[in-house]
Amino acid sequence: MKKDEKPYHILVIEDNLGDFVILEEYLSESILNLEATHAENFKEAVELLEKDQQLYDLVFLDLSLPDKSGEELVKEITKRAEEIPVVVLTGFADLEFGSRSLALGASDYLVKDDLSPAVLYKSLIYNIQRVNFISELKDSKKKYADLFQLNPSPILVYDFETLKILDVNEASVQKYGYSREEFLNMDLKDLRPKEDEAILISAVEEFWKKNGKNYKKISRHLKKNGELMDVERSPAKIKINNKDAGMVLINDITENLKYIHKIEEQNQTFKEIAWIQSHVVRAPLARLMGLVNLLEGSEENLSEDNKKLIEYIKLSSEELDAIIRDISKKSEGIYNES
Amino acid sequence: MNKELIIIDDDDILLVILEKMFGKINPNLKISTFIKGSDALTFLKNSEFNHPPALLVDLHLKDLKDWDFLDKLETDDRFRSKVFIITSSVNSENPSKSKRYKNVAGFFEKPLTFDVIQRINQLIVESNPN
Repeated sequence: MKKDEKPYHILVIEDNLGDFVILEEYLSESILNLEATHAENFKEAVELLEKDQQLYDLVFLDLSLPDKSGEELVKEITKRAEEIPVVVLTGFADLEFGSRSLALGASDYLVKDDLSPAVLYKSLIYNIQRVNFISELKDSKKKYADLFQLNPSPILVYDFETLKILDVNEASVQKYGYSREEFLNMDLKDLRPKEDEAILISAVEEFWKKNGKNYKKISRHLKKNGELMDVERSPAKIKINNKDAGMVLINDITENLKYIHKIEEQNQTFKEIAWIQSHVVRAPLARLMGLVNLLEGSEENLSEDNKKLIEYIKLSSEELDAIIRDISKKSEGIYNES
Repeated sequence: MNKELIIIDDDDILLVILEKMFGKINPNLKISTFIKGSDALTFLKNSEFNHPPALLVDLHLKDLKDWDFLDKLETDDRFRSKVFIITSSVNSENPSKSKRYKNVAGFFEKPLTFDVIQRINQLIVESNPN
């Protein structure tokens, strides 16, 4: 069998030198670059771990040392080993305690009488890997927690049945002005104005009935200071402790809505102006042009001068007419778009 | 028999202008003018005509806005008058909408020139009873 070429540094806490030698030999059969540090008693082990606990990939711990043994020994060593896996070595008589040591923080236990190169190597690799997985899992858990906690948008988690708020992120605290503790004593109804309670109940029901993907709704939420804001809610269904819960992403669109309303108002005014232009302004102009037509068709003999003046009035009104038509045409485009 | 024309427009100055212009083109045309659409409808209802008079109606009457006047006219079978619509608005949708009404014989933008008045007069004079 090809040897494992990766370097390993192990700490063996073992008062019996013979056992230490056997262990080192067995492992050397599988590992090319093995460094084994030997601690003969608890005191020495503690010193080594406190000096540089990071040095070791794994700790083998004999359960009976001259200066400490049993439960207390396992506790003290695993505490100091921190992230490093501790594999307990136990005699046949202590078999039962071996399994108990797992609950005390040990990663694994081996029966001394059953030791073989293969068993030792497997245990070493397995326990180092396991610790890596656990720390990766912790990292990813933290990453997800950060996604929630540090998300710039407020996120509320609530119990579907009671509507009680189960969790909020930092952005919610900032946005609403309630502390986390206050939030956890509130339910969704407390975030709505009293008159919107029925809307809330039916909105929650509707969301849970439909398998609401892309469900987005706008509603009014109350801040702690009584200020109302328009929010867009994007809820999702999750399970918390096996219970149905809703996770709602809140987007404060108060300012956006204000802005849109302002534009809508301006647009309305604009439409009115367009209407006035097209209907009202042109009416007296049409009348004026009609009068000119009438004068032109008059049988009375007009002086050349007056004919010229009529001609000028006609030209001016036609010019004004062209301008009004131009404006009407432009505003019509907007009419049709909206 | 002399043909009749009823002009309905809430602009009283325009009524004077149109009356004068039609009078110039066809002195035999019998012209009545109304400022209110409702008054014109009442007049139509309560009068006996040998031949239904032609109507020249402004589209934007103050009392019967937009197409209300035409809608009211359409619902009454006795009014088989030819209707000419006039408007000072330059909204381009209007002419196509007027085609929905079978009474409508023409759609004109103000101001009406003598040419237009001449054309309308022609249509009135040529129209047969019924």
